[in-house]
Amino acid sequence: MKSDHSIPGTEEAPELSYRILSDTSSSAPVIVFFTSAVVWLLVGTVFGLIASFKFNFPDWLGNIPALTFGRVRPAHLNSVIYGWASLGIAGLYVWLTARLCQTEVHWRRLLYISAILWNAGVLYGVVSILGGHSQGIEWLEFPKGAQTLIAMASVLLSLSILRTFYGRRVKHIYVSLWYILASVIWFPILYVIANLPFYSGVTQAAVNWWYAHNLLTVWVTPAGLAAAYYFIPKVIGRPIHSYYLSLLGFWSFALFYNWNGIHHLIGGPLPTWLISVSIVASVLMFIPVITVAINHHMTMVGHFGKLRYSPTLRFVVFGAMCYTAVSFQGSIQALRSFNEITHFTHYTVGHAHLGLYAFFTMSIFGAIYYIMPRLTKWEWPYPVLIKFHFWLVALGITLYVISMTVGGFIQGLYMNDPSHPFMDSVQVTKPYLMARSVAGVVILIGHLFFIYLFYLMIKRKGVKRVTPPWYEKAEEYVR
Amino acid sequence: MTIPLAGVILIAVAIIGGAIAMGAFIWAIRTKQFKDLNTGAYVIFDKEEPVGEMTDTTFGYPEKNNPKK
Repeated sequence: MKSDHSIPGTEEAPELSYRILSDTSSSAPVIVFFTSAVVWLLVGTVFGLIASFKFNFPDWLGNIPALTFGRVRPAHLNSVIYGWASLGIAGLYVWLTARLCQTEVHWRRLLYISAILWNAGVLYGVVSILGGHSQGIEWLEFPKGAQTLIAMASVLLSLSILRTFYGRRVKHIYVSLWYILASVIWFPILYVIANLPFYSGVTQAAVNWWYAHNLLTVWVTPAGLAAAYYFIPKVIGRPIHSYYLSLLGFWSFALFYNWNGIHHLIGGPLPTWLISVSIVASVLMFIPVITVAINHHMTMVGHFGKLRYSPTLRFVVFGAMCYTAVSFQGSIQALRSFNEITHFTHYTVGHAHLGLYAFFTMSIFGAIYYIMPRLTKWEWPYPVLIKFHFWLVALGITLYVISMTVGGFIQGLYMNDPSHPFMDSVQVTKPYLMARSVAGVVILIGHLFFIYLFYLMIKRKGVKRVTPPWYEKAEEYVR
Repeated sequence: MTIPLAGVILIAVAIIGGAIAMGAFIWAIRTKQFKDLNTGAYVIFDKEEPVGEMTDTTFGYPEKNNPKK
């Protein structure tokens, strides 16, 4: 616990100095990661919206090969996963690792190279998909060249974070750091294995979904949870309700979650035991999820009033609640009896967005709202725009998830009912698909507010607001 | 029956991966990461940002908790 984190020249306030040290050293690479993430967020949202409109107006943009559904949809998926999510995670991890290790970011040059390679990889990959050079395997559509760039970038990121961890000045590893470490060790391994040129046929399908679900296991979910475990207690000023439970949650998460992928292939031509193991593991996920849910709720109890003052808290608490929801939904969805109805329907799309947007993206928004002022020493201008951002995306994603869940479920019932011709199951989803496009537009408007605010933050523009005293002190130390 | 190269590599990776995870767990026990869990939760607080004080008040200060006082 007790550690010496004084740096030369700041002996009078050693406790403050480590935060200044870590925040100033992480500032430049984190801003680079976040800025590129935000650019990919916009790109990904636009692709998603085009794909959504194609369900309402099937002929729209149909004569431009690059903008046909089969290309725009994977372009959406890949630009949000490998662009927005991955680069956002990189920024969060760099910042949080330095803070939790109470030290400076080591090997920063690797981080800049990583950011360049990562962006180049995603750009090359998305352009290739639009050009018709997709590999045709979901989540692994990028051509080999783009995948090589991203693999190298992820190795560099991991090396820098592990080096920073090695130089830590604290003995105790906080629960968020456990998630980060597991994440940076496993993601490069996972990504490389999934892209080896070994697989074909059924094996390819198994590796495909083993990979796609484990991308959530080792990359997306740990990031959201690391953010929740750090920002909820940090913002409200109260330690985690049960630290014991949080660690139990981490290790049971590590044990169960990586088996889940094959539940995507229920009914597929795989050995039944393989699928059954995956279903059992999916249901076992109730254990880590309940530990997280209890912990976050009990930490917040009595402090919900603080949501009024903190944008970070709003976004992260929204995300944490949706984590519980999406995980429960996922465990149930993995059961054969339920999966029979929802497989191959829009229900799955709703589930994916509940996870990747309502849980993950909201958590990363919260993290960015907390991190950016500490990097640029500039308070967010125009709080009212932050409120617009929050309410637009929160309502947008709620409408999205509800319309896809209900519409998808009805679609599944129609598909299973032999008295209905197949086209009925398509027709019945039309109003829900329209609601989805409306939700997408609302979310895009919310993103535009966020992007404008983010731009002001980087430029330190907009109204200069009275900053909290800890920023002012921080500025003295930086000078 | 011959085991294909891919199988050999993947099984090796799986064993090494499991060993890493086990190693991390044993290391965590050895370095007493799971001892004294109550103080572990406090590692994110310090003198400047103590327990009981909000650290994000972008929408305004709560009355009770105003650090400017």
